[in-house]
Amino acid sequence: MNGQSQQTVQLTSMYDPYVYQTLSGVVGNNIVVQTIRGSLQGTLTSVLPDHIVIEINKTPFFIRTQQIIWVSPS
Amino acid sequence: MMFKRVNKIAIELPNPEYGDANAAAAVQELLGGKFGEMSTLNNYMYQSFNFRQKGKLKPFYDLVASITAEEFGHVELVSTTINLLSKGTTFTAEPDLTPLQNAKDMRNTYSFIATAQTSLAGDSMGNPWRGDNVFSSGNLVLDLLHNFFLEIGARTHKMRVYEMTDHPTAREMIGYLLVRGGVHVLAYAKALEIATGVDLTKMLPIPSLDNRAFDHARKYEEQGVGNVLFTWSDGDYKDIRAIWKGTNPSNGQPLVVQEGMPEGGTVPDLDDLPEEFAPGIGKDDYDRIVKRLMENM
Repeated sequence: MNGQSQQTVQLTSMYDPYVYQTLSGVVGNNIVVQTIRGSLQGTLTSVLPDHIVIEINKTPFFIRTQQIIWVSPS
Repeated sequence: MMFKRVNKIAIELPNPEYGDANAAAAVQELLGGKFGEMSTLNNYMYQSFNFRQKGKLKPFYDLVASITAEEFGHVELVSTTINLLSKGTTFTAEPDLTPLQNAKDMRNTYSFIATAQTSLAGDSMGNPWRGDNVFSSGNLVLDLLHNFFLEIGARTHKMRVYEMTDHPTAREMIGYLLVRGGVHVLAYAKALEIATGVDLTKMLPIPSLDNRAFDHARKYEEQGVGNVLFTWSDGDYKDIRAIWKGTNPSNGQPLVVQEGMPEGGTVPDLDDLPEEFAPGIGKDDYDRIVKRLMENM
């Protein structure tokens, strides 16, 4: 339009990049995760940019990073 | 009456690794509410203790007495459901780390303060179950009419709690008890028909909602759980046959009296809960206890 070339601007942003970084360093440890609705206690098995996986009695729970309030070792 | 206890619960309950403390609080109504299992148990228990002319009116006595035993099992089934639903709110940590902090926002604080996250002998608002929920007038028709009403009320409450939670443990328990409650509604209706000549099944069901509207009840309906009345005894209470006969008006299938009790399911064990100091036996204590238990055997 107006003879100007269209430019697409793409914004990429990670949720809580330092949370991601910190949790990546404790994979395999037992942790407590306080979420906006209750806490989960188990083994941190995987950390991804937007969610983490906690295993409780061999059952995986996938938790959105945005719903985490705090994490503590247990 | 003497009870013989079998270490089973009525059905196998699903036990997922997540709970729902507020669902547990709602399920309390089905345990210690006015229309809960403690009420059905105690109503039939006292009515059977207090029954006049047990010999002359034996089929009616046998009915109230045998259903008492079934209700005792339902009390444990609902309690167990509450125990399984109560998991997953708190975490294990030293007291100064406030491991019960999430309990503040749960409806039933007694569960965290008083019972270490297990069942309470009370209703969904924490009111204790009371003896004045028992109606035992001694007038046979009046007591049967009360029981008919009590079972319909209990069934209605179960439907509503079912609508409040989709937790698999709660739904399995409610699905089963809706079907068994339907059996008891029909049993008291039939008893009333025999006692008075009035056909109460013509005004059934209240509310007009079939058990088949509930996914978790349908399975039990299809298994025929709704056609069977158990004696819950090794030889007594067989005269319920004189009442539990004919066909089930909801499906046209024959009604069956089965001696004894259903096979049942496993009583689930509960994990220890260090943040509640329950059971409060550490490893060293346990080793000493085992040693004492094994001594002089």
